[in-house]
Order: sequence, then C-alpha cells, then structure tokens
Amino acid sequence: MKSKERYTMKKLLIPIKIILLGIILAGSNQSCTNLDEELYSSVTPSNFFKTEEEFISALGAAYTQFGGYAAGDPAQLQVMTTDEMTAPTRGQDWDDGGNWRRLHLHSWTKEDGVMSGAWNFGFNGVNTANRLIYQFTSLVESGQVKQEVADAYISELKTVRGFFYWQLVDEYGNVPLVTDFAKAEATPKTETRANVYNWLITDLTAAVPKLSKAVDGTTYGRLNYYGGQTLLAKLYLNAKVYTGTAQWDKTIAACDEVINSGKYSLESNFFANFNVNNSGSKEFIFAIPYDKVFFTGFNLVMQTLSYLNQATYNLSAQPWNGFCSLEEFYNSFDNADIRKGEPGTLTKPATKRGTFLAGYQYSSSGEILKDDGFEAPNLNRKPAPLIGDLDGKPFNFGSIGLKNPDGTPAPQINELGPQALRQAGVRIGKWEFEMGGLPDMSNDYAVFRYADVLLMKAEALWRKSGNDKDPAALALVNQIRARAGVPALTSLDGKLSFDLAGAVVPGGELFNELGRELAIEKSRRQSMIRWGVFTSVNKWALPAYNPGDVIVTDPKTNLFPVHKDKLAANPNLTQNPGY
Amino acid sequence: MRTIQNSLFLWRRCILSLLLVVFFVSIASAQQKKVTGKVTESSGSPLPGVTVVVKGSTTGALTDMDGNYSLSNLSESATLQFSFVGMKTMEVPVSGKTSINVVMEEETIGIQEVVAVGYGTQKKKELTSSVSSVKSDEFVKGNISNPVQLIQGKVSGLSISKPGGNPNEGFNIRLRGLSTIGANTGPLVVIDGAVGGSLDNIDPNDIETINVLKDGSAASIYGTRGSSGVILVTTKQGKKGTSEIEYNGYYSAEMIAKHTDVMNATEWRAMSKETGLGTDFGYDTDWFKETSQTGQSQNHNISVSGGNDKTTYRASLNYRDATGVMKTSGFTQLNGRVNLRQKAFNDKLTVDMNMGITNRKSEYGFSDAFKFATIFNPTAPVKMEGDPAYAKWDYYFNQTLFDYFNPVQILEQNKNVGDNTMSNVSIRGTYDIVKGLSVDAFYASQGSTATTSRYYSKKSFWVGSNTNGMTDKIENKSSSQLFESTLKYNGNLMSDLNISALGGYSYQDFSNEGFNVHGGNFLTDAFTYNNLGAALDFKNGIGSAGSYKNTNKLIAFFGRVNLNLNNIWFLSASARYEGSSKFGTSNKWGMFPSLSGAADISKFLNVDFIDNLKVRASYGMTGNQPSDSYLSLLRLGPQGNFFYNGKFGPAYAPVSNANSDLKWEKKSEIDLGVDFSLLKSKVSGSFDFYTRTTTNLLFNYEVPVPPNLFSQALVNLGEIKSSGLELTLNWSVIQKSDFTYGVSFTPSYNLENTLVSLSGQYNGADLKYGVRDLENMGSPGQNQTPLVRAEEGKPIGQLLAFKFVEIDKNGNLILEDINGDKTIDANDRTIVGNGLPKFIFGWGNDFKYKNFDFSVFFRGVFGHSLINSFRSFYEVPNVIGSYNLPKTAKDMRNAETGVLLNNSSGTTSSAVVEKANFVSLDNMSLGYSFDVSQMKGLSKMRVYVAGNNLFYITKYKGVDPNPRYGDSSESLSTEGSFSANPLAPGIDRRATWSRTRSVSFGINVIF
Repeated sequence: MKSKERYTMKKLLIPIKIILLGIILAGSNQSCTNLDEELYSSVTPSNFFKTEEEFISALGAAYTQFGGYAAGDPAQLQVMTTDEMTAPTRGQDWDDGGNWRRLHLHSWTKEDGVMSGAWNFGFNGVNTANRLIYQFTSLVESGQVKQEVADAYISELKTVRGFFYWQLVDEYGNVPLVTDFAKAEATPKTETRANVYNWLITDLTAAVPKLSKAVDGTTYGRLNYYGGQTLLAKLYLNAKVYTGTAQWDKTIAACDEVINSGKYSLESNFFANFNVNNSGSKEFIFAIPYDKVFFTGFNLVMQTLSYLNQATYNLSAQPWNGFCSLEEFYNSFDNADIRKGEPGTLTKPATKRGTFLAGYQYSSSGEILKDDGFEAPNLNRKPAPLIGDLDGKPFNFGSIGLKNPDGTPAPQINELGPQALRQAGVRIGKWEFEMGGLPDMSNDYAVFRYADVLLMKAEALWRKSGNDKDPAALALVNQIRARAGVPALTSLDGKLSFDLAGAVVPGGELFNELGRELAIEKSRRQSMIRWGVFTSVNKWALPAYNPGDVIVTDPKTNLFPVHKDKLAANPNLTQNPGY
Repeated sequence: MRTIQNSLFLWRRCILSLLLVVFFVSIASAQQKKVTGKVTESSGSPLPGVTVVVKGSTTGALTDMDGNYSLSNLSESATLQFSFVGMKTMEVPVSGKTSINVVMEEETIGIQEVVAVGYGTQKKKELTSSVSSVKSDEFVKGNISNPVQLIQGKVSGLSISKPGGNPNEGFNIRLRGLSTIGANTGPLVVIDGAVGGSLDNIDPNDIETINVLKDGSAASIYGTRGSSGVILVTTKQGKKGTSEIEYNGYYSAEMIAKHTDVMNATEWRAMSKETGLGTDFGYDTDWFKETSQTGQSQNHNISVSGGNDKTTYRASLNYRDATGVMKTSGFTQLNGRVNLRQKAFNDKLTVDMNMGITNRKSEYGFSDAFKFATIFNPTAPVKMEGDPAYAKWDYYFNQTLFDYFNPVQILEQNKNVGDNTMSNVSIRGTYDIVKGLSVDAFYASQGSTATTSRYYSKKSFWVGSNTNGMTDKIENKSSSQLFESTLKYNGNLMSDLNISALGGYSYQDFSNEGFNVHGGNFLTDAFTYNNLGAALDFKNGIGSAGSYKNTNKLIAFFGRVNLNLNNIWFLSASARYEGSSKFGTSNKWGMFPSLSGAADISKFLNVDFIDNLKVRASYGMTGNQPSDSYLSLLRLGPQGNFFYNGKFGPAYAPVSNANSDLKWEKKSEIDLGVDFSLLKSKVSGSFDFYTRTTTNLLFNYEVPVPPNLFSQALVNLGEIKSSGLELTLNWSVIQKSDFTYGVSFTPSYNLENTLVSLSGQYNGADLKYGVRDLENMGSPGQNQTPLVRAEEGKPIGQLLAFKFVEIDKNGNLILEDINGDKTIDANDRTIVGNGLPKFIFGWGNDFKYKNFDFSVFFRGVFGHSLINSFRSFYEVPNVIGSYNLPKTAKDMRNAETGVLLNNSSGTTSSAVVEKANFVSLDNMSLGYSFDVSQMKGLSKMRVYVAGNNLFYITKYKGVDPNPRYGDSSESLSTEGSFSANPLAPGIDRRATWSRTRSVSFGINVIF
C-alpha cells in the first residue's frame, strides 16, 4: 500500500473509531433501537402468580377494601346522620365547607365528597371481587388451579361482593348491577333496589353454603359460613325497607343458623369486644383485623379525642377534637349501665371505661387537663350559655355536671356551629385507646357481632308477633341487658330516646336498646329507617347559626344521592328521587 | 462551618493586601509617551467622535471633525481601543509607535453574533426561529446562587419565580405559558451539549452564555423533551494565547423584607379584650425576631484559564457558604469544573473534555417555623425555664391547640439537612473529514445523589411527639448516560446559496433508585439520624422502610438543513424521530418535524435608518413524555395486608392499567416574528407572536373499573392552547466616550391559556372531564373547600371563592347568593380571579460613567391573583383564642356598628383573593473598575455593591406577590415543584417563607 493511501485510510479510520468507541460506551449489550422496559421494583402478571402464596395475596386484595369501613366515608353516612354522633363546627375547626353540618342536618347534596367516597368504597369492593372471581375462573380454565380449590375462593369472593352490594343497596338503593368482570359494560344502567336485593339473595344463598364452617384462625378476619348467614340476616331484616316485603321468618332462620351452631356466645365483659387486644372475641362473627401497622384505617382516636388528650394516652399525633355524641343519646343510657361509663370529675379521672368519654379529662400522669385555648361562649347566643366552668380551663367533655344560669343542666353541645365549644359533646370511648398509640388503632372492629344477631332475632320475633311482651324476644333482649347490668325489660314499647316528650312508640324500648348495645357500630341509621323515624331529624338536630344551614326532613333522605361526578361519568345512571 | 468561614475571610484579606502591593509597584515602573493618528471609515472618509481609550484605564479622547486624535502620557505597554457605534471595536498595541491610523469596519452589532442552537451554532442573522441569547456581561448581578437568576427578567416570555426567601428552594421556570399538565412543565436544560443537565451542577460564575430556544421550530431538534422550551448553557472556555487567573468574590447580607403583618402584644391584647377570647401570658414576644436572622453568604470563585494553539483549558473552583433568614437554614457548596480542549492531527481532530462536580450540604430549616411564627400568641414566652410543667418539652412554652407549635422549639430541637452531590463528565471528539464536513461523537455521563436526613427530638412537641424521637432518612440517586454522534456539512452549493446540514443519532438511558427509612423511639437524642438501628420502632415492627429502582431510555435520529440564499432568504427544516421506553408497545416512536423561514427585507427597503429587518415564520412540533416509567404496563403491587391463617400477609393488586397505546404528548407551535436593528444598531430587538397547541395530553385519569383493573390510567387525551406576544428591545440611548446609557425592555403578553379539552376515549369508555374543582384550603376547618376550577373551554387557573358582600350590622359575614336559591352552599362559589399572570416585563438600565458602571433592573408581573391563605384562615377575630391574627383582622367589622365578624370561622371569599400585580426593583448594582493599565500583571479589577429584590410595589397584602405556578398543597418538603399541580396556580400557601432582600459587596480581579 502506498503511503498516501495509507494516510487516507488512517484519516477515515479516525471518525469510524470515534463512532465505534461511542457505541461501545453506549452499552455493548444494548441494541441501539431497543426500547423494551426493564422492571426492578414492580411486578407484572408475567412474573407473578407463580406460587400459592401469590394466589392468596391476590385474594387478600378483596379484604384490604374493608380498611375504610370502620372510620371512612361509609361510617360517616351510617353514623354521622343519626343522633349517635356529630361533628360540630368549633370555631376555626370542623367547618370544612359545611359538610359535617349537612350530614347532621340531612341537608347533604350530590356535590358532597362523602357521597362519592362511600360509592367508591362499595364499588371498589364489588369490582375487586369481580376481578378476582374472573382471575380464579380463568386460572381454572387454563388448568393452573383445580376446580374444587377455586370454588371455595370464588364462593368467599361472592360473599365479599354480596357484603359490598349490601352497603350500596342500603345507602343508595338503586345502583347498577355489575356481576361479571369480563362482560362488564363501561356504562351500566341503574337497577331498582328490589332487583339488586333479589339478585343478592339468589347469589348469596348459592354461595354461603359452600363457605367454611370453621371458627378459628383459618377464618378469622374473613367471611365464613356464619358471616354469610349474618349478612343474609341483615338483608332479610331490612327487606321491607329494601323491597316492601318483610322477611321475618327468613331473618329468624338465618340468625338461628348462627345461634344454634353453638360456636358463638356473649363475652361476659362487654368491653372485651372493644379492647385493643380483642382478637378472637367469642362474639365476633366477622371482624376487620385492624392493626396500627398492618391494617390501618381505624382512626377513631384522631376523630373523636381532643388535642389535649394527646397527653392522656401519650399519642404520637395530635387528635382532631371532632366527633362527639349527642346529649339525648348519652342520656338514653342508665347511669348503672356498664356500657355508659363514668364521667371524670374535678377530683379524679373516670374510673370505668364506657361507650362515652365524658367529664373532666386527665393526663397519663393524673393531672387534670387545662385548655389554654378555652373560648367562653358568646353571650348573644341562644340557648343560654353555661356558666360555672371555673376559670374555663379544666377540660370537661360535654360540660358534664355544669349548669346554665337558670339552673338547668349545661348543654353538652351548645350549638352545631360555628361557635360550638371546644369541649362540646361527650366523646366516643367505646374502643379502647392504646397508651402511646398511633393515629391508626389496633383494635379489631366487629362488623358482625353475636349480640347483634341476638337482637336481630328478637326484633324479627317481635315484628312477626306484633306483641310488645313477646317472651322469646324479651328473653333475647334481656340477655343483652343482663350483661350490661341493667334490669330486664317487661315491654318492648317505649318512648324513643331522642323524643322523650313524644308518645310511646311500638318497640321503642327495643329501638333504644339497639342504640345502647350497638352504638357507633353502624346500625343506628338502619334501625331509624325500620322504625320510620330517620326523617324526624328535626327532633334531634342541634341549632346551627351558619348562613345556609337548613334541616331537611324529606323522605328522600332515606336514600343518599348519587354523586354528580358519578352521574357525569356514566350517563346511564339514574339519580335517586328528590336530588 | 464557622471556622471555615473565618479562615476564608482571613485569606481574602491577604489577597487584598497583595493586590495593593502590586498596584504601587506598577505605578512606579510606568513610562511616558505620546501617540497621534487618524480614524477613517472603510470608504476613506474620516470618522469624527470615535472613542479612543487606553485599555483598562479612563485615559482617552474623541476624534475631531477630521477624524484626528492625540493622546499623551502613554506607557509602552498600553493598548489603544477604538470604538464607535455601528463599528467593530478595534484594539492596537502602542509598542513603540507614535502614529496609529485606523480604518474601522462596519458592524451591525448582534447580527454577526453566533448563537448556540441545538447541536451546533448559527449566525444570529440566519436564525429563522425565536432564540434569545444572554451573555455573561448582561447577566443579573449581585447575590446569585442559582444560574437561572442570571437571566431572570432578561428573556421575554421566560418567567422565573420563587416566592419567599428559602435559600434551598428551587425556582419555577415557565416559558410561554403552560404547554403540558401531566409532564414536566420546566424547560429542558442542555449544558455544553449534555442533554437533560441540571442547572444545580453549574456555578453561575462559570457560565459564558445562556440561550433560550423559545419556539417549537427551534426546540424541535430536541423534539421529545422540548415542549416547555430549551435552555442551552455554554460554560466558559480557555482562550488561545492567554493565561489568566480570575477571582470573583462577594459577601452578601440578606434581610427579611416582609413577613405577614401580624398583631404585636399590645394589639393582640386590645383585640383579646374586645372579643373576650384568648389568654394573655404577659410576655411580649416578636416571633419573627426569634426565628429569623440576617442571612449571610460569601462566594469565592477562582479560575485559571489559557492555552496555546493546540490546547486550551479552564478550571475553576467555587465555594459558597450561605445562611438563610430562617435560623438554622443555609448551605455550603463546593463546585469544581474543568474544561479542556486539545487539537490533534493537523488540527483536524478536536477533543473536548468537560467535568463538573458539585457538593451541597444544606440545612433546610422548617417552613412551619415561619407559619407558626405568624400565628403564635405574641404574649407567650419562648421558654418557661424552670417550670416543671414544661420540662417534658425542654421548657419551651407550648399550648395544646390544633396545629399550633412553638416555632423556636421547632428550629432549635429538630434537624433537617441534605447532602447532594452532582457530577457530570463528558468527552467530545470532532473530526474535520474534509473542508466543510465533520463528524463528532459525544459521550456524557451525569449523576446525582441526594440525601435528606431529619430528626425530631424526644422532647419535640410537633412531629415526633410522644414517639421518643423520630427520624427520616431518604436517599435518591439518579444517573444518565448519553451517547450522540452527528455528521455536519457546511458549504456553498452555488455562489450565493449556502447550505448547512447535520444528521445524528442519540442514545440516552436513565436510572433512578433510592430508599427511605422512617422510624423512632430512641433512648437518646444523641444519635439523631445517624444510627437508625438504635430506633426501637424497627424492633417493634412499626418503623417503615422502602426502596425503588426504575430505568428508561430514549433513542433518536435527527437531522436539520439550513439554507441561506444571498444572505436574504433563509430556510430551515429539521426532524427528530425519537422513541421512549416509557410508552406502549404500539406507540414507542414519534416524529417531530419543523419548518421555518426568514427574509431580511431591509435589503429591499433601502431605508437609511434600518440596518436589518428580518421577518420570520416557523412551525415546529415537540413532544413530552411521562415523568415515570412503566405506566403503559399492567403492574401488580402490594396493596395493604390481609389476615390469613392468623397472621398478616401482603395483598397484591393491580396498581396500573395496561395502555399499549400510550404515546407522546404533542405540541405544535407557530411563531411569527420580526428581528430588527435600526440606527446603526442603536436600537435592536425582536417581536414575536406565538400560538401553541398541545394535544394527546398525558393525564392521569380516573377510569371505570370494570372494564379496567385499576381505577386510574395514564391516558393521552385532551388539548391545551396558549398564545402570546413578546418583545425584546435594546436601545443605546447615549454613547459618549465617558458616558453611556443603555436600556433593555422585555415585555411579554399572554393572550390565552386555555384548557380546550380533557376528554377522550380510553378502553371503550368515554372519559369526560367537564368541570372540576381542585385543591383544598385544608385544616383547620377548611377541608373540602376547592380553590381552583378547571373547566374545559375556559382559561387555566380560574380561582374559586364565595363573593364577599359585607359584614352586616350584627357581625354576620354576608356572601353573595350566586344562584339565587336563598342558601349559601358550595354552588355559590364563583370565579373571582385567575392565578396566571397576563403581562410580564423586565426593564434594565445600564449606565457607564468613566470607571463607574451602574445598573438598575425592574421587573413587573401583572394580571394574576393570589389566594391569601393566611388571611383566609386567620383574618377572623374570633380565632384569637387559638391563633394570633393579621393586623387586618381588626377591620373585620361592620363599619357602622363596629360589631366584629362573628359567624365565620374562616372562609375563602373574594375578600382574600387579591390581585397581585407588582413591580419590583430586582437588582441594582454600582461598580468601579480600577485603572489597571499601570499595574503590572493585572488586567482587570472591579469592585461593586449590588442589591437584589430591593423593593416591591404591590397592593398584595401577603408576603410575596410572585406568581404561584402550581400547587403542591402544604407539606414538610422544601422542594418539589415537579409534583405541583399546574392546573391549580394562584394559591399562596402558609408554607411560603418570608420575602427577603439582600445587599452584596464584591470584587472581580483578573491577573
């Protein structure tokens, strides 16, 4: 080769070398147009579902949906709308666009976020169950899982789905029916409440018998056969409301499946059901195994306690001073009722825990809590302000024991807002607050409890016989009362707890007893609707001073509105009447 | 930190003494000489009024009517500098001559200028698209800690904003309105060719020029990431035949210019008395005084540069030490940079190596401290020394109220620090194959590691209460590798048709990983965040830890052709074909073309005073990709736990939907512009009209389940549109030998910023966005109160509130019943303003008188409103029981009866949505350049004093009227404008720091 040619070659080699070097630097193992994604910290179906644990973890998704049940939006719909609980606007706190007051006054609207939240809670549960049923069915079809193994899971998932549909049919009534993931329409139309109910009964009566009858660690925290029967009992108990046709015999039969199994009994200590360590209570038929780390979402401790109570329980976060109970509801408990609890006094903290946390509050080291931010009530307000709160500082939930200037007992809640006192209202102490607790509580939450089954049966017996002295019904109710340390009832009739000035109502005492035993356990609204008094909200509503606050006593309020965003997303949905 | 600071002060003093010695020695050695001569134009006619000065001094003269000049008392080594408007400045060394005649060449300043564009440079006169260039001598001066501050207000249409004086907070950069809502809203940064660089890894002292590619056609060569504009940064290089050592240093003091004007103890007592609320603790505490300090910063930059025919180099070292106005806040930063250029093979091969490394150690402070300083009771003491009731909080005074904590305690007990290291290395080889044809290969590697560590004391009454100490440790690492190769050609096809063309390939991969740990329960505060294993939370199973890793890739082919016919007609076309791994399998690749043309019509006009008049039109398409990887895949992830067989196990569920159609967001932009130069370049500038439309918007949509497995999906749908006008004007008002005055004016006007649509199809479902109310004022008491309405077909940034009517005679807040239904509810909220500005200007004035230089820079922003959160929450007399109030709360009463507002506990009404128009004196500086002609070894010495953010003229009652371009609600995090929701601008949150002003003294010396 001539030297000149060699020089030219060399000249050309240099840029080629540069390019080659660059390509090597760019990654020798990469094709220069390959854009496949490499995953490191997430998984796709192609590298999942390889082991049994992975299948079970998929089933778990159906149950994680329950996390929002005890204290989330569904709880607000079921509890906040009754005389059990409210969240008054306390000065700067708890205005939140008026939505808490609207729940209390039944003036909720289709714009309120809680309407969307509870709807999502229901349908997320339904859809997750549908998705998993579809997945398990596909796995059977592809031969990866045996039919009999899948069947147990599928029946359980159908029962879980049934639970969420019960929530939807109870709250919204008329909802779309989506039962098959693969064939689901994008915009399903609204079905009538009765149709959804009928489908639910058919579906559940087929699925429930296939569920496990074990009552032990293998089914704890999951829906077993008895959980399924209790769910059916709930549906039958409210069947008249849902469809217009009562199902008292079926209610009794479903309850008897649980009672006659002999696998459940009343705990001798009522609060064994609500302690921090309440797992495995003999009363639990279906419980959500809340845990401060593993299963979060039960944050009643934040919702109800005052900021000051951070020092009572050495909590890691400052509570929100919000949810409290109403005076009539508190007073519907006899002082001897061990479920009520004792208020703290100026000289000593409460000695007995109860459904309510009332009276003077103390720190964990036994000092009375004083509220520097105490705000004297506005003298221009009616009803008359309470006096005698000493220098205003010792913190007294519900102003228990204090008097108005005219000598009448101080109001527990002076007004609904905006200037409700910071200490207004007795608080919810039914579930034990853990010392040094986190914002999420570890107490398991009973969705279905044996006492509830006994009371459901009692109500069905009474409604069937129409006899206020029905001995079988009274026996069941008095079983509950005996544990609570209060005298047996001789008649189920009585005045309603929130309307003591009113007339004696058939089953009135049973209604009150349901309230006392199942307080804040999401049964009050359903009871009120069965007794036809949910729309009597004007009887228990607190006075409100905010412009625009109105009490709505319209029968439409027995159902909640479908949120506007849901209507916008699906034109085939029908809004409930009156909204 | 302090010790280092002290020793550096000493060191600087030594340098100054040394300089003085040099100065006197130089004077002693000076010699005397006289020079005369004549200055003519190229046509031969004499030029009167030419400035002739001895370089580096004030000695000078003007040429007379015949172009003659005379200068005496010159040193042998002096150099004469000849300057005249419209002519190229010339320099001639005296070196023994007694007569120096000069022929000056015409120049249209700026037009010959070469500016960096994507993958190359272009003569400014040949530009066919909208590109702004800012050179180092035009940079904003004074207390500059971030490179973007250098061009704040200098580039028309580029908004650079940072409300409040947090020294560790980044700037929000927005070019020409909003072009995306689901991806990155900030411009792409390219540093010396390294695409996707971080401005934080570059010291402002090392920057030569910053160019901004504004329109779609300019940016489209970076196609896929160019939608929000491109910022090209060129760092300083060594120059052939020189050898320089340069020192820049300044000391700066930063003071609080404005904090929320709250009641002092006397005013508080009066209000407490009137309302009958609140507890007087008997003290008089100014909580701002207790939580703030005078911020001090010092900055030292030393660079060495130089070179010969084969090699040029520049290396620099930068040290910054700053304390913020909040006690315990500040940072120290060390940055080093080396730029090296070597030629070889008969100068045919050029190798460039650049390296930069930055380490910043930050103390963030806690934004909550200023929030609580605003609302803490002024009659309360800081501490209750010796009172056993307060021993558990280490004697800090506290009250148990909602969201109310002693701000001094927050700062003194807890720690919040960061350590960031960034590095980049790059190498480029360019080879000239034959004349006009070259090939180059470029490799760049960039990396960053950011660690944040927080510790909350055992005695903390705030975060970490009753947890026995709490710690957070977070580390995020990212790295990218870029390889690019281009082939370039430049030559004449015919005698008057010049072509330049390039084609290239680009490969870039990115990797992000990190971990975070959160836990508490320590025996002692001594470990802080340094011994995570000592936290009992981990042993008790309540500590938490996490980690992640993801990668992605971008691969592209690109090309561009520029034609220049006769220096009159210009045409440019480019295209980039790019693929991203982040997209769905069927849509990985996208094509981003551009076409632009220009004509210099001054050649046809033949008007005397017009030097250059170029009209241009361009069209360009750019793209945007999602910020996260794997969004097109169906993924499963742990979704809570599940109680199974008596113990908890993880539950797995879908966390994203498959979307194989996921593709590029596309923005097309039309830009019509005029570049002009008048009166021998005394006046120059450009005017632009742009209109841009982004389609296939990437948006995280709520989708129905079923048919989808997960309730959200990243979907391409919808459209946003914006348009506007921009002007850049430079005017040399006065040009005399000892006095010059120049003005620059850069106004921009936004014509529209519309959310055209956010609806579309996904997986068989019609997704309809309609009207959505976004964001939330928050606790206490204002949850579920949306603040911004996003509505299809309407402008972005509509602020939502009730309309304030009056406080009636009884003290009731009266709001307007918008829908006339006799009740005030959510439906009565209405649009009361817009959070995005309409009109922005920068107005610079530069004076030079003899050796003095003086500049004043004003910036104005108009048309935006801000929701004042502090007023919304606390301008309510009856919350005095819990919080201190703004002074204005005492006016919240009926004017007639004097009854205070009493039925509201805080409402976002139109009364707290304020117009936030402002004009600010952003920067003012006065400098003096010493006459160094007599000083051996010294070629420049300038001292200056500068002020930044000196004052604001505004009616806004909040702390800082600067626009808030997106909302990230209120959180402990000190950074994070990326996660901010761009559909919700205009919310002035309580986490904003007090506004500051600073004054700096600096020196610049070149040896």
